[in-house]
Amino acid sequence: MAEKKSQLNTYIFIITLCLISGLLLATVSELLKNRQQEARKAYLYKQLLISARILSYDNYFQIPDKKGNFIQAKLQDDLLVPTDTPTKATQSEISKVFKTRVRPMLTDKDGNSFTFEQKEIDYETYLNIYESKGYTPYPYRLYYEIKANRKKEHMEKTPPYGFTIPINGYGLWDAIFGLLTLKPNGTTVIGVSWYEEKETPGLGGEISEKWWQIQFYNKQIFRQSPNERTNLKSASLGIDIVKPGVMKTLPKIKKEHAVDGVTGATITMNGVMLAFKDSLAPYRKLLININKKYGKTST
Amino acid sequence: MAKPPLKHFFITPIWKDNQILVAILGICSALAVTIQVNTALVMGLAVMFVTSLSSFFVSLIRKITPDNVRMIAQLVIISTFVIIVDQFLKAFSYELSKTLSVFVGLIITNCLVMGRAESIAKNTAPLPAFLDGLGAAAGYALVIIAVALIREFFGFGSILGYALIPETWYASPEHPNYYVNANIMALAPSAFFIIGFFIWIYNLIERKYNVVG
Repeated sequence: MAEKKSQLNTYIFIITLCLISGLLLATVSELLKNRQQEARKAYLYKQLLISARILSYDNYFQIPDKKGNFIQAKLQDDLLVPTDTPTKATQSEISKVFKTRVRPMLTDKDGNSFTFEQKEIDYETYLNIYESKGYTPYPYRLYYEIKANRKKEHMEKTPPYGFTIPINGYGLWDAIFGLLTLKPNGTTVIGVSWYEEKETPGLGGEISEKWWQIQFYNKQIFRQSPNERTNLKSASLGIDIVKPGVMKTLPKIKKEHAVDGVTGATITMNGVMLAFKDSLAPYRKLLININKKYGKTST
Repeated sequence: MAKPPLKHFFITPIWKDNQILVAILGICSALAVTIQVNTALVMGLAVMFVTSLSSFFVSLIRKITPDNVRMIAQLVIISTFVIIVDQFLKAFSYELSKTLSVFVGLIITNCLVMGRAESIAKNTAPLPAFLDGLGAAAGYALVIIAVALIREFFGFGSILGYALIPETWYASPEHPNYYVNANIMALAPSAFFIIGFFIWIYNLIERKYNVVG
Protein backbone atom coordinates (compact mmCIF):
# COMPACT_ATOMS: atom_id res chain seq x y z
CA MET A 1 0.00 0.00 0.00
CA ALA A 2 2.75 2.38 1.01
CA GLU A 3 4.48 1.87 -2.30
CA LYS A 4 1.32 2.66 -4.23
CA LYS A 5 0.82 5.84 -2.27
CA SER A 6 4.35 7.06 -2.97
CA GLN A 7 3.82 6.35 -6.64
CA LEU A 8 0.70 8.48 -6.62
CA ASN A 9 2.64 11.22 -4.86
CA THR A 10 5.26 11.11 -7.59
CA TYR A 11 2.61 11.55 -10.27
CA ILE A 12 0.97 14.43 -8.44
CA PHE A 13 4.34 16.10 -7.86
CA ILE A 14 5.47 15.90 -11.46
CA ILE A 15 2.13 16.97 -12.89
CA THR A 16 1.94 19.99 -10.58
CA LEU A 17 5.51 20.99 -11.35
CA CYS A 18 4.91 20.79 -15.08
CA LEU A 19 1.67 22.74 -14.79
CA ILE A 20 3.32 25.51 -12.81
CA SER A 21 6.28 25.84 -15.14
CA GLY A 22 4.05 25.59 -18.18
CA LEU A 23 1.80 28.32 -16.85
CA LEU A 24 4.81 30.50 -16.04
CA LEU A 25 6.28 30.11 -19.53
CA ALA A 26 2.94 30.75 -21.21
CA THR A 27 2.54 33.97 -19.22
CA VAL A 28 6.05 35.17 -19.99
CA SER A 29 5.71 34.39 -23.67
CA GLU A 30 2.28 36.05 -23.88
CA LEU A 31 3.50 39.16 -22.05
CA LEU A 32 6.56 39.53 -24.26
CA LYS A 33 4.89 38.58 -27.53
CA ASN A 34 4.07 42.09 -28.73
CA ARG A 35 7.42 43.40 -27.61
CA GLN A 36 9.19 40.58 -29.49
CA GLN A 37 7.25 41.20 -32.68
CA GLU A 38 7.99 44.91 -32.43
CA ALA A 39 11.67 44.17 -31.87
CA ARG A 40 11.72 41.87 -34.87
CA LYS A 41 9.95 44.35 -37.11
CA ALA A 42 12.24 47.16 -36.02
CA TYR A 43 15.18 44.91 -36.74
CA LEU A 44 13.87 44.20 -40.24
CA TYR A 45 13.38 47.93 -40.98
CA LYS A 46 16.88 48.64 -39.80
CA GLN A 47 18.40 45.87 -41.88
CA LEU A 48 16.56 47.01 -45.01
CA LEU A 49 17.89 50.54 -44.54
CA ILE A 50 21.38 49.13 -43.95
CA SER A 51 21.17 47.15 -47.19
CA ALA A 52 20.13 50.39 -48.93
CA ARG A 53 23.02 52.22 -47.24
CA ILE A 54 20.56 54.81 -45.91
CA LEU A 55 21.74 53.69 -42.48
CA SER A 56 25.36 52.87 -41.72
CA TYR A 57 26.40 49.83 -39.68
CA ASP A 58 27.08 51.98 -36.62
CA ASN A 59 23.60 53.51 -36.79
CA TYR A 60 24.10 56.86 -38.54
CA PHE A 61 21.96 58.05 -41.43
CA GLN A 62 23.88 58.66 -44.62
CA ILE A 63 23.20 59.97 -48.12
CA PRO A 64 25.28 59.80 -51.31
CA ASP A 65 26.94 63.06 -52.39
CA LYS A 66 27.43 64.11 -56.03
CA LYS A 67 30.42 61.83 -56.50
CA GLY A 68 28.55 58.87 -55.06
CA ASN A 69 30.46 58.76 -51.77
CA PHE A 70 28.25 58.31 -48.75
CA ILE A 71 28.31 61.12 -46.19
CA GLN A 72 26.66 61.34 -42.79
CA ALA A 73 23.21 62.83 -42.58
CA LYS A 74 20.44 63.63 -40.16
CA LEU A 75 16.67 63.59 -40.35
CA GLN A 76 15.07 67.01 -40.77
CA ASP A 77 11.37 67.41 -41.67
CA ASP A 78 11.15 63.88 -43.13
CA LEU A 79 14.22 64.58 -45.25
CA LEU A 80 17.80 63.41 -44.87
CA VAL A 81 20.20 66.36 -45.04
CA PRO A 82 24.00 66.29 -44.79
CA THR A 83 25.41 67.24 -41.41
CA ASP A 84 28.78 67.71 -39.74
CA THR A 85 27.49 66.82 -36.29
CA PRO A 86 25.84 63.45 -36.75
CA THR A 87 23.92 61.73 -33.98
CA LYS A 88 22.95 58.09 -33.85
CA ALA A 89 19.58 57.32 -35.41
CA THR A 90 16.88 56.46 -32.90
CA GLN A 91 14.42 53.65 -33.37
CA SER A 92 11.55 56.02 -34.08
CA GLU A 93 13.57 57.91 -36.71
CA ILE A 94 14.41 54.61 -38.41
CA SER A 95 10.73 53.61 -38.49
CA LYS A 96 9.81 57.05 -39.80
CA VAL A 97 12.29 56.88 -42.68
CA PHE A 98 11.12 53.38 -43.46
CA LYS A 99 7.45 54.40 -43.51
CA THR A 100 7.96 57.50 -45.68
CA ARG A 101 10.40 56.11 -48.22
CA VAL A 102 10.01 52.35 -48.46
CA ARG A 103 6.98 50.91 -50.30
CA PRO A 104 6.37 47.16 -50.23
CA MET A 105 5.36 46.14 -53.76
CA LEU A 106 4.28 43.00 -55.58
CA THR A 107 5.33 41.67 -58.95
CA ASP A 108 3.85 38.87 -61.06
CA LYS A 109 5.62 36.42 -63.35
CA ASP A 110 5.66 38.90 -66.25
CA GLY A 111 7.45 41.53 -64.22
CA ASN A 112 4.47 43.86 -63.78
CA SER A 113 4.38 45.84 -60.53
CA PHE A 114 1.42 46.28 -58.21
CA THR A 115 0.94 47.89 -54.85
CA PHE A 116 -0.53 45.83 -52.04
CA GLU A 117 -3.73 47.90 -52.20
CA GLN A 118 -4.23 47.13 -55.89
CA LYS A 119 -4.18 43.41 -55.16
CA GLU A 120 -6.04 43.84 -51.86
CA ILE A 121 -3.42 41.90 -49.93
CA ASP A 122 -2.44 42.91 -46.43
CA TYR A 123 1.32 43.41 -46.11
CA GLU A 124 1.60 42.10 -42.54
CA THR A 125 -0.39 38.94 -43.28
CA TYR A 126 1.60 38.38 -46.45
CA LEU A 127 4.85 38.62 -44.50
CA ASN A 128 3.65 36.28 -41.76
CA ILE A 129 2.67 33.61 -44.26
CA TYR A 130 5.45 33.78 -46.82
CA GLU A 131 8.51 35.09 -45.07
CA SER A 132 9.69 31.71 -43.79
CA LYS A 133 8.72 29.88 -46.99
CA GLY A 134 10.33 32.30 -49.41
CA TYR A 135 8.46 34.63 -51.74
CA THR A 136 9.44 33.11 -55.04
CA PRO A 137 6.94 30.28 -55.61
CA TYR A 138 3.84 32.47 -55.20
CA PRO A 139 1.93 34.31 -57.90
CA TYR A 140 2.75 37.73 -56.42
CA ARG A 141 6.31 38.22 -55.22
CA LEU A 142 7.40 40.82 -52.76
CA TYR A 143 9.93 43.55 -53.42
CA TYR A 144 10.45 46.99 -51.96
CA GLU A 145 10.67 50.24 -53.81
CA ILE A 146 12.75 52.90 -52.06
CA LYS A 147 11.66 56.40 -52.96
CA ALA A 148 14.08 59.23 -53.62
CA ASN A 149 15.14 61.47 -50.76
CA ARG A 150 12.72 64.24 -51.71
CA LYS A 151 9.83 66.14 -50.19
CA LYS A 152 6.55 64.29 -50.36
CA GLU A 153 5.13 66.27 -53.28
CA HIS A 154 8.20 65.59 -55.48
CA MET A 155 8.76 62.04 -54.32
CA GLU A 156 6.47 60.30 -56.80
CA LYS A 157 7.82 62.13 -59.85
CA THR A 158 11.52 61.56 -59.17
CA PRO A 159 13.01 58.19 -60.13
CA PRO A 160 13.30 55.95 -57.09
CA TYR A 161 16.45 55.60 -55.01
CA GLY A 162 16.53 51.84 -55.41
CA PHE A 163 14.79 48.49 -55.20
CA THR A 164 15.15 45.83 -52.52
CA ILE A 165 14.66 42.16 -53.24
CA PRO A 166 14.41 39.52 -50.49
CA ILE A 167 16.98 36.75 -50.88
CA ASN A 168 16.35 33.41 -49.18
CA GLY A 169 18.39 30.25 -49.13
CA TYR A 170 20.03 27.57 -47.06
CA GLY A 171 23.25 27.79 -45.11
CA LEU A 172 24.97 25.04 -43.15
CA TRP A 173 22.66 24.92 -40.12
CA ASP A 174 19.42 26.54 -41.17
CA ALA A 175 17.67 28.76 -43.68
CA ILE A 176 19.33 32.14 -44.28
CA PHE A 177 17.48 35.37 -45.10
CA GLY A 178 18.87 38.44 -46.74
CA LEU A 179 17.97 41.65 -48.53
CA LEU A 180 19.61 42.93 -51.69
CA THR A 181 19.17 46.57 -52.67
CA LEU A 182 19.78 47.55 -56.29
CA LYS A 183 20.23 50.90 -57.96
CA PRO A 184 17.27 51.97 -60.14
CA ASN A 185 19.06 50.56 -63.20
CA GLY A 186 18.17 47.14 -61.77
CA THR A 187 21.65 45.71 -62.21
CA THR A 188 24.07 47.45 -59.81
CA VAL A 189 24.12 46.53 -56.14
CA ILE A 190 23.79 49.31 -53.56
CA GLY A 191 24.20 47.00 -50.61
CA VAL A 192 23.24 43.72 -49.04
CA SER A 193 22.23 42.53 -45.60
CA TRP A 194 22.01 38.96 -44.33
CA TYR A 195 19.70 39.58 -41.45
CA GLU A 196 18.73 36.14 -40.29
CA GLU A 197 21.19 33.27 -40.11
CA LYS A 198 22.18 30.61 -37.62
CA GLU A 199 25.60 29.86 -39.12
CA THR A 200 28.72 29.10 -37.06
CA PRO A 201 29.79 32.32 -35.33
CA GLY A 202 33.17 33.48 -36.58
CA LEU A 203 32.96 31.33 -39.72
CA GLY A 204 29.71 31.14 -41.72
CA GLY A 205 28.20 33.65 -39.29
CA GLU A 206 30.48 36.31 -40.77
CA ILE A 207 27.97 36.73 -43.62
CA SER A 208 26.00 39.04 -41.35
CA GLU A 209 29.11 41.11 -40.52
CA LYS A 210 29.97 44.46 -41.99
CA TRP A 211 33.40 43.57 -43.41
CA TRP A 212 31.88 40.85 -45.53
CA GLN A 213 28.78 42.70 -46.67
CA ILE A 214 30.58 45.87 -47.81
CA GLN A 215 32.26 43.84 -50.55
CA PHE A 216 28.95 43.77 -52.39
CA TYR A 217 28.85 47.52 -52.96
CA ASN A 218 28.63 48.39 -56.69
CA LYS A 219 28.81 44.79 -57.91
CA GLN A 220 26.85 43.73 -60.99
CA ILE A 221 24.22 41.02 -60.56
CA PHE A 222 24.11 40.33 -64.31
CA ARG A 223 27.35 38.90 -65.61
CA GLN A 224 28.61 41.35 -68.22
CA SER A 225 29.44 40.19 -71.72
CA PRO A 226 33.01 41.04 -72.67
CA ASN A 227 32.29 42.65 -76.03
CA GLU A 228 28.81 43.86 -76.80
CA ARG A 229 26.08 45.18 -74.51
CA THR A 230 24.98 42.72 -71.86
CA ASN A 231 21.81 40.90 -72.83
CA LEU A 232 19.75 41.02 -69.64
CA LYS A 233 17.44 38.28 -70.92
CA SER A 234 20.18 35.66 -71.04
CA ALA A 235 23.08 36.90 -68.86
CA SER A 236 23.74 34.76 -65.80
CA LEU A 237 22.12 36.31 -62.76
CA GLY A 238 23.59 36.25 -59.24
CA ILE A 239 26.84 36.96 -57.44
CA ASP A 240 29.79 34.58 -57.50
CA ILE A 241 31.79 33.90 -54.36
CA VAL A 242 35.44 33.12 -54.96
CA LYS A 243 38.26 31.88 -52.78
CA PRO A 244 39.86 34.75 -50.83
CA GLY A 245 42.84 36.10 -52.74
CA VAL A 246 41.72 34.87 -56.13
CA MET A 247 39.95 38.17 -56.80
CA LYS A 248 43.03 40.06 -58.01
CA THR A 249 43.65 37.51 -60.75
CA LEU A 250 40.12 37.73 -62.17
CA PRO A 251 39.35 39.73 -65.33
CA LYS A 252 37.33 42.91 -64.79
CA ILE A 253 33.97 41.59 -65.93
CA LYS A 254 34.22 38.66 -63.51
CA LYS A 255 35.49 40.90 -60.74
CA GLU A 256 32.37 43.02 -60.96
CA HIS A 257 30.29 39.90 -60.50
CA ALA A 258 32.18 38.25 -57.59
CA VAL A 259 33.09 38.74 -53.91
CA ASP A 260 35.63 37.09 -51.61
CA GLY A 261 34.36 34.15 -49.59
CA VAL A 262 35.03 33.33 -45.94
CA THR A 263 37.70 30.71 -45.30
CA GLY A 264 36.34 27.68 -43.48
CA ALA A 265 32.72 28.33 -44.41
CA THR A 266 32.42 26.64 -47.79
CA ILE A 267 28.92 25.25 -47.25
CA THR A 268 27.56 28.62 -46.12
CA MET A 269 29.24 30.31 -49.09
CA ASN A 270 27.73 27.83 -51.54
CA GLY A 271 24.38 28.41 -49.87
CA VAL A 272 24.71 32.17 -50.26
CA MET A 273 25.70 31.83 -53.91
CA LEU A 274 22.76 29.54 -54.61
CA ALA A 275 20.42 31.82 -52.68
CA PHE A 276 21.31 34.76 -54.95
CA LYS A 277 20.89 32.63 -58.05
CA ASP A 278 17.59 31.05 -57.02
CA SER A 279 15.99 34.10 -55.46
CA LEU A 280 16.91 36.52 -58.25
CA ALA A 281 15.86 34.28 -61.14
CA PRO A 282 12.07 34.85 -60.75
CA TYR A 283 12.66 38.61 -60.59
CA ARG A 284 14.51 38.76 -63.90
CA LYS A 285 11.55 40.18 -65.83
CA LEU A 286 10.93 42.79 -63.14
CA LEU A 287 14.60 43.78 -63.26
CA ILE A 288 14.46 44.10 -67.06
CA ASN A 289 11.34 46.29 -66.79
CA ILE A 290 13.00 48.44 -64.15
CA ASN A 291 16.10 48.75 -66.30
CA LYS A 292 13.98 49.86 -69.30
CA LYS A 293 12.13 52.41 -67.22
CA TYR A 294 14.89 53.94 -65.13
CA GLY A 295 18.14 52.58 -66.60
CA LYS A 296 18.91 55.71 -68.63
CA THR A 297 17.97 58.34 -66.08
CA SER A 298 20.57 57.19 -63.59
CA THR A 299 24.11 56.00 -63.87
CA MET B 1 30.41 20.52 12.45
CA ALA B 2 29.99 24.28 12.58
CA LYS B 3 27.77 25.75 9.92
CA PRO B 4 29.84 27.67 7.34
CA PRO B 5 28.98 31.39 7.02
CA LEU B 6 26.71 32.39 4.14
CA LYS B 7 29.37 34.13 2.09
CA HIS B 8 31.36 30.93 2.09
CA PHE B 9 28.75 29.46 -0.27
CA PHE B 10 29.29 32.29 -2.73
CA ILE B 11 33.08 32.61 -2.60
CA THR B 12 34.24 28.99 -2.57
CA PRO B 13 32.89 28.02 -6.01
CA ILE B 14 34.33 31.12 -7.68
CA TRP B 15 37.96 30.14 -7.24
CA LYS B 16 38.58 27.21 -4.91
CA ASP B 17 35.91 24.97 -6.43
CA ASN B 18 35.84 26.60 -9.85
CA GLN B 19 33.52 24.50 -11.97
CA ILE B 20 35.59 24.64 -15.13
CA LEU B 21 39.10 24.57 -13.68
CA VAL B 22 38.54 22.10 -10.85
CA ALA B 23 35.42 20.11 -11.60
CA ILE B 24 35.96 20.28 -15.42
CA LEU B 25 32.23 20.87 -15.94
CA GLY B 26 30.55 23.00 -18.57
CA ILE B 27 33.39 22.48 -21.02
CA CYS B 28 31.18 22.00 -24.09
CA SER B 29 29.63 25.46 -23.88
CA ALA B 30 32.99 26.94 -22.91
CA LEU B 31 34.23 25.76 -26.31
CA ALA B 32 31.26 27.11 -28.24
CA VAL B 33 30.68 30.62 -26.89
CA THR B 34 34.25 31.81 -26.35
CA ILE B 35 34.97 32.98 -29.89
CA GLN B 36 34.02 36.56 -29.07
CA VAL B 37 33.99 38.43 -25.77
CA ASN B 38 30.47 39.83 -25.92
CA THR B 39 28.88 36.44 -26.51
CA ALA B 40 30.88 35.03 -23.58
CA LEU B 41 29.80 37.95 -21.43
CA VAL B 42 26.09 37.50 -22.11
CA MET B 43 26.38 33.75 -21.82
CA GLY B 44 28.07 34.18 -18.42
CA LEU B 45 25.25 36.44 -17.23
CA ALA B 46 22.59 34.07 -18.54
CA VAL B 47 24.20 31.11 -16.79
CA MET B 48 24.40 33.12 -13.55
CA PHE B 49 20.68 33.89 -13.77
CA VAL B 50 19.69 30.32 -14.58
CA THR B 51 21.98 28.58 -12.07
CA SER B 52 21.18 30.81 -9.11
CA LEU B 53 17.41 30.75 -9.59
CA SER B 54 17.15 27.08 -10.47
CA SER B 55 19.30 26.19 -7.43
CA PHE B 56 16.99 28.33 -5.32
CA PHE B 57 13.84 26.59 -6.51
CA VAL B 58 15.32 23.09 -6.46
CA SER B 59 16.24 23.74 -2.85
CA LEU B 60 12.81 25.17 -2.10
CA ILE B 61 11.04 21.97 -3.12
CA ARG B 62 13.80 19.62 -1.92
CA LYS B 63 11.67 18.22 0.93
CA ILE B 64 8.67 17.28 -1.19
CA THR B 65 10.60 16.03 -4.22
CA PRO B 66 10.34 12.23 -4.55
CA ASP B 67 13.86 10.87 -4.87
CA ASN B 68 13.22 8.81 -8.01
CA VAL B 69 12.12 11.77 -10.13
CA ARG B 70 14.40 14.46 -8.70
CA MET B 71 16.53 14.78 -11.81
CA ILE B 72 13.51 15.24 -14.05
CA ALA B 73 12.17 17.84 -11.65
CA GLN B 74 15.51 19.65 -11.72
CA LEU B 75 15.55 19.62 -15.51
CA VAL B 76 12.02 21.05 -15.68
CA ILE B 77 13.05 23.92 -13.41
CA ILE B 78 16.30 24.59 -15.26
CA SER B 79 14.72 24.56 -18.69
CA THR B 80 11.95 26.88 -17.51
CA PHE B 81 14.51 29.52 -16.60
CA VAL B 82 16.50 28.98 -19.77
CA ILE B 83 13.41 29.59 -21.89
CA ILE B 84 12.63 32.73 -19.88
CA VAL B 85 16.14 34.05 -20.56
CA ASP B 86 15.73 33.32 -24.25
CA GLN B 87 12.35 35.07 -24.43
CA PHE B 88 13.67 38.16 -22.66
CA LEU B 89 16.69 38.35 -24.95
CA LYS B 90 14.39 38.15 -27.97
CA ALA B 91 12.20 40.96 -26.66
CA PHE B 92 14.80 43.39 -25.38
CA SER B 93 18.00 42.68 -27.24
CA TYR B 94 16.93 41.16 -30.52
CA GLU B 95 20.27 41.46 -32.26
CA LEU B 96 22.18 39.78 -29.44
CA SER B 97 19.61 37.01 -29.20
CA LYS B 98 20.28 36.23 -32.85
CA THR B 99 23.91 35.36 -32.19
CA LEU B 100 23.24 33.62 -28.89
CA SER B 101 19.93 31.80 -29.16
CA VAL B 102 21.44 28.40 -30.01
CA PHE B 103 23.85 28.58 -27.10
CA VAL B 104 21.29 29.90 -24.62
CA GLY B 105 19.19 26.84 -25.38
CA LEU B 106 22.23 24.73 -24.62
CA ILE B 107 22.43 26.02 -21.04
CA ILE B 108 19.86 23.30 -20.29
CA THR B 109 22.49 20.68 -21.03
CA ASN B 110 25.27 22.53 -19.24
CA CYS B 111 26.49 20.01 -16.65
CA LEU B 112 27.38 22.86 -14.31
CA VAL B 113 23.77 23.84 -13.66
CA MET B 114 22.63 20.31 -12.96
CA GLY B 115 25.80 19.62 -10.98
CA ARG B 116 24.99 22.44 -8.57
CA ALA B 117 21.39 21.27 -8.26
CA GLU B 118 22.47 17.71 -7.52
CA SER B 119 25.39 18.38 -5.19
CA ILE B 120 24.34 21.46 -3.22
CA ALA B 121 20.81 22.68 -3.88
CA LYS B 122 19.01 19.46 -2.99
CA ASN B 123 20.81 19.31 0.36
CA THR B 124 20.76 22.90 1.64
CA ALA B 125 18.40 25.74 2.43
CA PRO B 126 17.24 28.02 -0.43
CA LEU B 127 19.40 31.06 0.34
CA PRO B 128 22.78 29.27 0.53
CA ALA B 129 21.76 27.30 -2.56
CA PHE B 130 21.03 30.55 -4.40
CA LEU B 131 24.41 32.04 -3.44
CA ASP B 132 26.18 28.84 -4.34
CA GLY B 133 24.59 28.79 -7.79
CA LEU B 134 25.50 32.44 -8.30
CA GLY B 135 29.10 31.83 -7.24
CA ALA B 136 29.55 28.73 -9.36
CA ALA B 137 28.20 30.51 -12.43
CA ALA B 138 30.34 33.58 -11.71
CA GLY B 139 33.41 31.34 -11.64
CA TYR B 140 32.29 29.87 -14.96
CA ALA B 141 31.71 33.34 -16.42
CA LEU B 142 35.16 34.55 -15.39
CA VAL B 143 36.89 31.63 -17.04
CA ILE B 144 34.95 31.81 -20.33
CA ILE B 145 35.47 35.57 -20.55
CA ALA B 146 39.21 35.08 -20.04
CA VAL B 147 39.26 32.42 -22.75
CA ALA B 148 37.23 34.66 -25.06
CA LEU B 149 39.64 37.58 -24.52
CA ILE B 150 42.53 35.43 -25.71
CA ARG B 151 40.61 33.90 -28.61
CA GLU B 152 39.12 37.13 -29.92
CA PHE B 153 42.41 39.01 -29.68
CA PHE B 154 44.55 36.43 -31.44
CA GLY B 155 41.85 35.10 -33.75
CA PHE B 156 40.32 38.38 -34.94
CA GLY B 157 42.67 41.10 -33.67
CA SER B 158 39.84 42.72 -31.73
CA ILE B 159 38.23 42.85 -28.27
CA LEU B 160 34.45 43.31 -27.99
CA GLY B 161 34.40 44.00 -31.71
CA TYR B 162 36.87 46.93 -31.53
CA ALA B 163 39.87 46.30 -33.73
CA LEU B 164 43.04 46.57 -31.65
CA ILE B 165 45.59 45.58 -34.26
CA PRO B 166 45.96 48.36 -36.84
CA GLU B 167 45.03 47.58 -40.43
CA THR B 168 48.55 48.46 -41.61
CA TRP B 169 50.12 45.62 -39.62
CA TYR B 170 48.24 43.00 -41.58
CA ALA B 171 49.73 41.04 -44.44
CA SER B 172 48.70 42.30 -47.86
CA PRO B 173 49.82 41.57 -51.40
CA GLU B 174 52.51 44.27 -50.97
CA HIS B 175 53.74 42.97 -47.60
CA PRO B 176 53.17 39.23 -47.53
CA ASN B 177 55.29 38.74 -44.41
CA TYR B 178 53.23 40.93 -42.08
CA TYR B 179 50.87 39.87 -39.31
CA VAL B 180 48.11 37.32 -39.94
CA ASN B 181 45.32 36.41 -37.51
CA ALA B 182 45.71 32.95 -36.01
CA ASN B 183 42.88 31.09 -37.68
CA ILE B 184 43.03 28.22 -35.18
CA MET B 185 41.73 30.60 -32.50
CA ALA B 186 38.43 30.80 -34.36
CA LEU B 187 38.04 27.02 -34.17
CA ALA B 188 36.81 25.08 -31.15
CA PRO B 189 40.04 23.09 -30.43
CA SER B 190 41.86 26.29 -29.45
CA ALA B 191 39.52 26.67 -26.47
CA PHE B 192 40.58 23.18 -25.38
CA PHE B 193 44.24 24.20 -25.37
CA ILE B 194 43.55 27.47 -23.57
CA ILE B 195 41.39 25.87 -20.91
CA GLY B 196 44.01 23.13 -20.45
CA PHE B 197 46.62 25.85 -20.07
CA PHE B 198 44.43 27.62 -17.48
CA ILE B 199 44.01 24.40 -15.51
CA TRP B 200 47.78 23.96 -15.49
CA ILE B 201 48.28 27.51 -14.20
CA TYR B 202 45.55 26.99 -11.62
CA ASN B 203 47.21 23.86 -10.33
CA LEU B 204 50.58 25.61 -10.16
CA ILE B 205 49.01 28.31 -8.01
CA GLU B 206 47.00 25.98 -5.84
CA ARG B 207 49.79 23.39 -5.64
CA LYS B 208 47.32 20.66 -6.38
CA TYR B 209 48.95 18.25 -8.71
CA ASN B 210 46.27 15.59 -8.79
CA VAL B 211 43.12 16.81 -10.44
CA VAL B 212 40.10 14.64 -9.76
CA GLY B 213 37.35 14.47 -12.40
